[in-house]
Amino acid sequence: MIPKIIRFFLVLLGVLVLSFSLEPIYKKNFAKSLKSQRMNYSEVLDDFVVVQYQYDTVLLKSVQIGIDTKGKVYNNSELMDILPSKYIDQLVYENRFPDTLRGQYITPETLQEANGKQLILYSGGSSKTFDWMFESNTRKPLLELPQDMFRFTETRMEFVRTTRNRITTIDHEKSELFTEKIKATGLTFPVKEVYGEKAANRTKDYGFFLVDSKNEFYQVKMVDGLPVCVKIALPAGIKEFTGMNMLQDDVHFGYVYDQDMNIYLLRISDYKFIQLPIYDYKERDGIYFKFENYFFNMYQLYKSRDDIRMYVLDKDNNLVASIIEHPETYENSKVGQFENYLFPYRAQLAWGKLLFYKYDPARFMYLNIALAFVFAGMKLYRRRSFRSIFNWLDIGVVLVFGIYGFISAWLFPNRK
Amino acid sequence: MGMNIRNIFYKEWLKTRWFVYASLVLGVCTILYAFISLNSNIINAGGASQYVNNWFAGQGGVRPHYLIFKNIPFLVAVLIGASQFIPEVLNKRIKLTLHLPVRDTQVLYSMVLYGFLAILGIMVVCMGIFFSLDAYFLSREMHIMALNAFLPWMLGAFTTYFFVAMIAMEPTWKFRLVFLIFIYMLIDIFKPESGYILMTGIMIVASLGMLYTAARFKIGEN
Repeated sequence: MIPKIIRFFLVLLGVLVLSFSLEPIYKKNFAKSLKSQRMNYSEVLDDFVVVQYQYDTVLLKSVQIGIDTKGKVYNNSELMDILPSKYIDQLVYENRFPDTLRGQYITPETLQEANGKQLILYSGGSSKTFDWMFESNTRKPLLELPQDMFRFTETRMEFVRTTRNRITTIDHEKSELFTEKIKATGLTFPVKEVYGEKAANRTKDYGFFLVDSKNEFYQVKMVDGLPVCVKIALPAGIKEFTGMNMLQDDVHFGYVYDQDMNIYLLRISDYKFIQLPIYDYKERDGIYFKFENYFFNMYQLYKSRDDIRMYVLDKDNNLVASIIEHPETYENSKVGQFENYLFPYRAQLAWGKLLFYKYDPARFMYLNIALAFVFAGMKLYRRRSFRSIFNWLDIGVVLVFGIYGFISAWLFPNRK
Repeated sequence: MGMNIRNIFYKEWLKTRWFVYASLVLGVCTILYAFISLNSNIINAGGASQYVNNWFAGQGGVRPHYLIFKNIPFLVAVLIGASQFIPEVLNKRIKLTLHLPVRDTQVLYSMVLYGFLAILGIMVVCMGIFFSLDAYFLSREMHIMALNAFLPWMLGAFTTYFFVAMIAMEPTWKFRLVFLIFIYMLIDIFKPESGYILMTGIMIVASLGMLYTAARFKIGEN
């Protein structure tokens, strides 16, 4: 009896392992390469344009084409004209670069400088930091790495000196100086979250942003070796901040997220919060790209690989346009669709989380039922007794976990 | 009963002592090497502050010094498990063991408990040396990072050991091979992001697996 109970748990363990490994094996063997496409916003048309490759049967090679939302197709040359920010070098080379765009005088250099791409990952803070407090008042081309590091304890901010090959001694004098300053500004220990830029290869430093035990927001930095702490007033309706991404920017400190995952830009000049008109970030995966050109900021948010939303904001962060894109993906392909009939779900370890992707039961239930019948048939053929509850449990596992259960029940035989 | 366990422990010790010593030497030497290279890496980086910055920012090819220990717990588990069970299985001595006037479960789990304690002892010694040296070089935040990396490897090592015991008791070569592939796929789950509840649950199920294959062994499955 006990070995059979243990076997049942081993079968469940087998189901878990197979749900991690079977789907990647299937995908690796059967998936075909996909047609790549990119979504762009044309500053000439004021419309979205999908850029993709199409096989030209005359030239016998793939050529780039663009399709706008009205279905109009643009060839390679027309595409350059409607997306000048993307094809600056080619337009200059062909001597077709425009003098003005949207009524403004432009040069290749001004457009080039404004172009940018940034991956923005939502980042929660941590109070268990061990960071460098850089000198903010510096005119050096790069920040100078301090020879001490700081951390927050339950009651104070603590600086730890580093020597030639050790990190050990606590600098009590500096620790007291900073602790007293931030306490005097109103911060209540312990600090719940710390946000800040860690890398040293940058020219500007704005210190660190802290959320204290009362959910109030502070900035602390070091100017001429002395602490500077600022309490930042929260806009109405915001109870607390849950995340922040720092920017290397002269205008904004970074993106800040509130309890409802609304996104704000925090302005350097007056510590003002500017809310971005993106309201469905919570439903998305927390990953987005920011594409920038001379006229617009474009945010591309992902819900899944086949559901991408693009927001186009003007330079004052007003919404200009938005679109949901459904590109051809593995999930939409025939092989990908067949996967939904084959596996009841798949498991994945990604971004520090154990994720389960469930499929539609209406698709995989046919295979599950068929496998359960096959399994029962095999048991009957081998004259296994159906009076044993463990044989029924096996059939139940196959019925619920489908192909995973079928293989796993076979992996751990239950003969006598 | 206590006498029986002591006798079995002594029998296991005679079989495995050289492998226990070898594992201990392997673990301690790996840790000493990690700290010798840490010392020189910190000096080469231009000071501890710069080294930690490179480490956090992923610059200059700096990898945490404790990563070198990653495969050692698994290797120790396989060494101890194999030295304990392979002679028993190949010489078919396990049959004698299972016919002793003691309950099978007690005999088998005395053997497994010995192996578990041997691996635990080796790991405790290695961790003791590691954190004593780490305390000299680095701050407590980094000890927590190291501990967070070590714990999944330890849990994975114990799971590997339990599966080695389970595979050893399996009577058929076909299923021994199948279980080997299974443990190879399973070990990938032992990462901090999997969560300690899941990893501990897998370890507990693996620790019971031997009873299943022992039952198959006793009734002579083929």
